[in-house]
Amino acid sequence: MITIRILLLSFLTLGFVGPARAQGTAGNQADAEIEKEVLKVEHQKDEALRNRDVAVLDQIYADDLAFVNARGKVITKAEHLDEIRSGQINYLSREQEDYRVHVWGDTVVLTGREKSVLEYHGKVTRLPRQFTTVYIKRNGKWRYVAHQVSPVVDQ
Amino acid sequence: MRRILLLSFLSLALVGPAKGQGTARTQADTRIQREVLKVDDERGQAMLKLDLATLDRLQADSLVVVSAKGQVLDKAQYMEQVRSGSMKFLTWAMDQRRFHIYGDTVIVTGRATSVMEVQGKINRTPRRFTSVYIKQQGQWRLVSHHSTVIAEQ
Repeated sequence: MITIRILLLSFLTLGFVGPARAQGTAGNQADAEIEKEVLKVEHQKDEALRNRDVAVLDQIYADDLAFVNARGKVITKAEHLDEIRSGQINYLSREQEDYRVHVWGDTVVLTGREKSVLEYHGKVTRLPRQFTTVYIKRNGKWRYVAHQVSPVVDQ
Repeated sequence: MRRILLLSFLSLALVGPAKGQGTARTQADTRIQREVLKVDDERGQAMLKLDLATLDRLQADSLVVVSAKGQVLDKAQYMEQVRSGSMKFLTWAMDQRRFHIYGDTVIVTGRATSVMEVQGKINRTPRRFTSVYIKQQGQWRLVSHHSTVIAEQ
């Protein structure tokens, strides 16, 4: 059966990896458990990005990661990790909100808005960005398999 | 069928074999790629023809779309844009498609060069996309689609 539950979350991730606050209707227990697991990995990933902890990111990111940055460029896992290691991407703050989690068994699609302040190749950007992230459970672990970002354009 | 095989061959030739899971490409993966490519192309044809019934069938009810402007749309909102003509595809073209196969979940990335009319304005800007297809009850359905304008380098 297709089971979908949308969870709306709003929180600051800067120095905060606390319990997720769910809003809206409750889904089934299995989905709620999956959401919790995936958000835990998502928070670990964010903390690793802040701390430039490439070893943790290497474990969470799938080797075949499909990553499209806000400039519409395809980046491989190795290139992305290298940008973090070298400081070409440097998170000055991380702020994410409006998380929506769509659970499809062992595949989870997460969308949200990022307002992090980011230094990218020496340029500071504060523009809000909308992202889609896909997690897939392989061998008992949730892996970050796809991520795409778009700048939010004023309507 | 011939066209699909040709497209499949072209996409292989252009971007190389899909390497989902980091394992060697199997016969099953080849079959999956062909099935998803077919559904992706059917969706494109349905967009061009404003065939809402086909779009309804190939897109999951909980579809989440992030537009190139960073707007989040659910299935009803996305379908309404198509139905009302506020988002119209004049041509449907994509290349550099790459398939990341994870069993019943397939992630397709690629470049879209379709010509669109968005709220009366013609848009030819190339966009990069990520589409997620999931097989449920024997049918591949689009569950997520994200589009980003390709910035000039």
